[in-house]
Amino acid sequence: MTMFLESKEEVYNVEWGRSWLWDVRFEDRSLAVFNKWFPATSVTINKFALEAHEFSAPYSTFSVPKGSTLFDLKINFLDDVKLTIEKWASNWVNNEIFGNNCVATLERACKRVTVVRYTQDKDILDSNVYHVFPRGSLYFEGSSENSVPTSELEFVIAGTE
Amino acid sequence: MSKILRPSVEHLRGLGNFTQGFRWGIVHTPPPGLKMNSEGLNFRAVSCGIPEWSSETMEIQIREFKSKQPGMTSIASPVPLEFFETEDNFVHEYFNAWKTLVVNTKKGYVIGAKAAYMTNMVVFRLNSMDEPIWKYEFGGVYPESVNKGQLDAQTGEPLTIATNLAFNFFNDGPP
Repeated sequence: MTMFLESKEEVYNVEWGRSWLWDVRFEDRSLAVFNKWFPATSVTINKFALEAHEFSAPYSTFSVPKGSTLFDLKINFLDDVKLTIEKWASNWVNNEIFGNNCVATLERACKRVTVVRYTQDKDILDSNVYHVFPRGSLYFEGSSENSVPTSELEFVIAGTE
Repeated sequence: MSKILRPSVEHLRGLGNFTQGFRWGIVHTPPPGLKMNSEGLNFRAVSCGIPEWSSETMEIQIREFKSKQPGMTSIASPVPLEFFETEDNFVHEYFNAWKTLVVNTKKGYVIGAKAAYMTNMVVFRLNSMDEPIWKYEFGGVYPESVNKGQLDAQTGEPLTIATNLAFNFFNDGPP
């Protein structure tokens, strides 16, 4: 039997992926300049989430597929001097979701976000549209560093297109 | 395969004029907030760096096999620029005024808008007839550091001001 990976040539011949070839966009006019492109510096997204059901039987423990868990999306982003993103996210939660003395329905609470991944020559490799609403909290972290303010937003994916 | 020739004197003569490192000039547009004539910078400039383009290589290692492929690319900013100072303190005054547009040097906070202190700069390389043959264009330029030299007891050379100019865009090509 020969080796599976035999030579350096086989590693060299692959065009390897690049971790920065992605894009995120919320289509929301209140984002002003960031309506066209969202200033995300990193994105984390479930591609699948499968839970297993474990059970014990004599001599061993077994596991079988059970069902899916919640899908979520996390975005780290930079903000501009007007705090455009912070104000947009606060308005989304405090006015659009909690605004009318009640909690908005799922349909009204969600916004569309598109996550795209590219090839190295910027052709679209895959493009997914998600309907999301924010989960958890948004913190502003002031510091004494020479840096741009960054925060993390976490979203629940309520649906896809 | 074509025959490989060792270059001879005839080949070297056929190459034409070689470019000379001292034939260059700066066209520096004063930032909109700075009301000074920037021509004096060109006459006092003694050296100018040329930004280096580089690609951050990605290394893929799978067990014993290492392979490389190009990753993110960048152009090294800032560009170093040196000036001789004259007794009218033109370079000091120019950079003080420009610096004041970027940062309030007394109170220490950034003032003004980018539009007021960002500017453009073009450096031309010249041929032996002093005609432009290549241009290096810098956009979104602002002073990142200004070193006003050192005073001592024995140097007869003019005082040299060493600056680093940060830029946001760079392009070079025929003029």
